Amino acid sequence: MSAFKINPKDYHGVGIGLRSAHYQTILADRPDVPWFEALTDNYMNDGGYPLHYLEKIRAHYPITFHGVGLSLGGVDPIDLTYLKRLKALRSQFQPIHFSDHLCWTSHDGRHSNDLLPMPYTQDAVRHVSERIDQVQNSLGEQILVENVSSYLSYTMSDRTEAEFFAEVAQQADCLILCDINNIYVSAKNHGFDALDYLKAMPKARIRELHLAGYEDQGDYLLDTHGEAVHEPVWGLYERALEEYGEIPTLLEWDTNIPDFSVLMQEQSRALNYWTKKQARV
Amino acid sequence: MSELSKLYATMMEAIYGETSLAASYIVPGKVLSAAAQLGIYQGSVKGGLVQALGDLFPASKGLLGEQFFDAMASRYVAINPSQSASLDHYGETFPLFMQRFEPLAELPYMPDLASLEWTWHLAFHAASTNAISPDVLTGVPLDQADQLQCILVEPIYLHRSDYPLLELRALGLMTESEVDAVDIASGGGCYVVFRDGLNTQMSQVSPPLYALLEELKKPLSFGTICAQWLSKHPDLELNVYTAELIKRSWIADFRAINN
Ligand SMILES: [Fe+2]
Repeated sequence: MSAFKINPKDYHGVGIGLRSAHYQTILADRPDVPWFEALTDNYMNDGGYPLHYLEKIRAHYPITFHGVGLSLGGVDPIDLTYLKRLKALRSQFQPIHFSDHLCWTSHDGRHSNDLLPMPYTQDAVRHVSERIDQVQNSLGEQILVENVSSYLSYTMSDRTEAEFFAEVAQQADCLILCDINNIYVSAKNHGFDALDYLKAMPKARIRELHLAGYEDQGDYLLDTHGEAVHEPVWGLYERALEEYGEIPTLLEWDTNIPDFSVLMQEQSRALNYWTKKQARV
Repeated sequence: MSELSKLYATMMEAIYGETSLAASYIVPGKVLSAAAQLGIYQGSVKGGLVQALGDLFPASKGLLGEQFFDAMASRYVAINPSQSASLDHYGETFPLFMQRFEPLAELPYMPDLASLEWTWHLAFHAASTNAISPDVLTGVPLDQADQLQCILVEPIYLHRSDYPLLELRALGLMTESEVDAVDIASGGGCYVVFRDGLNTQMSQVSPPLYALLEELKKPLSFGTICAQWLSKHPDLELNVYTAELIKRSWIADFRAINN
């Protein structure tokens, strides 16, 4: 499977997740953002406001596609209608790449519309790798697969998530979108060391990092994407840049969406870590 | 059934239901029990769908209040799991559920309002067609109406209700500050949900215009539709109503039949 063709000029630095609340501001102010990430599931309809604005924004910015609906780890057959719509969107908008998650979201026709964790077993490695391969063959390019935040682990798991991820990436020959916030959230919830996780990931396959905010529920951390990035996640991000190099990074904010200027402040803080790193080299 | 299938089936059952069968698959945490960990997913899946219904039916939520609406939506979610990867498809049967929901018996206008909101949502995301241009319209051989089909623009949805839906919607959304109460007894009307460019809109129309729109949704010749409409409205001028359809930009085309 060939890697997607990226123009490095189009894909560097810190991009921002595109949300409808910011369409007008982006078009009016043309902020200095290297690329936007469009949530493909928001553009699966036939027409209307979201597609119209995506077209306008695409005319000025490169975009990546990020989805939550493929249920890569599920056992229901891959939804071919969804895949067909994704391909149509891809030929219309020419994104840099497409990503989805290492998780399952539906079973026997019922959907959770939430990212549910997989068990980490040999069978599951084989199963999900085959499905990622199926999607990559259908799209004709490698996809990026992202780690999810989780709140439970299964008794049947016989390896760590990072080991599982590495095996899947190898078998499916896919690329990785490494969500730093998700690593931190899961590390706290399950009591593993986030740095060990970072180091165990196959770094040659990592093409993008995600940053977002969680919510502290007292007994556990909830991945809400509704707050600014927390201090320990910034710390982990800095370590990730040291470990992986300057990987394009995307800032996500999905609930309690603030003014666009707040996202720009977060973006600029993320870029500072790049500068800091460059200064040390 | 594979181990993975068994696990997913049990998990999905637990997420939508209240069962704790899935707990045996889950490693108990130091702080949270297996059931409590599962509860986080139950909460986020159901909460996400309740939230989606609130976003899709904002005026209904506004009228009923968050607490009542969310409780009703939770009942709906429990018996209507999501069947699509996209939340845009969730809630089609919610108006019907509201019609049968006993605590709403005293508020009979709510299901109609919810139906209107659902079509607003459909119209918002639909592909749209343009109205016929004056140049094309001038060239339409209306003397051959039996050979022509009149095509309405898309999207266009029709609602007839015994209740004043536009006022109820405005009150629910609190977009028009002058609407602070609605007189349900003031009666209903005929409503059209359509798009003007990117803007989804709703209009109240006269019953004869509504009847004409209803006919035009049928795959009949324009001549037949006109004749049927005139037989039901012998005292009215058809030209007045077709002119209004054109003025409102609701006619997309006249096409020759069998072409
Ligand atoms: Fe992410």
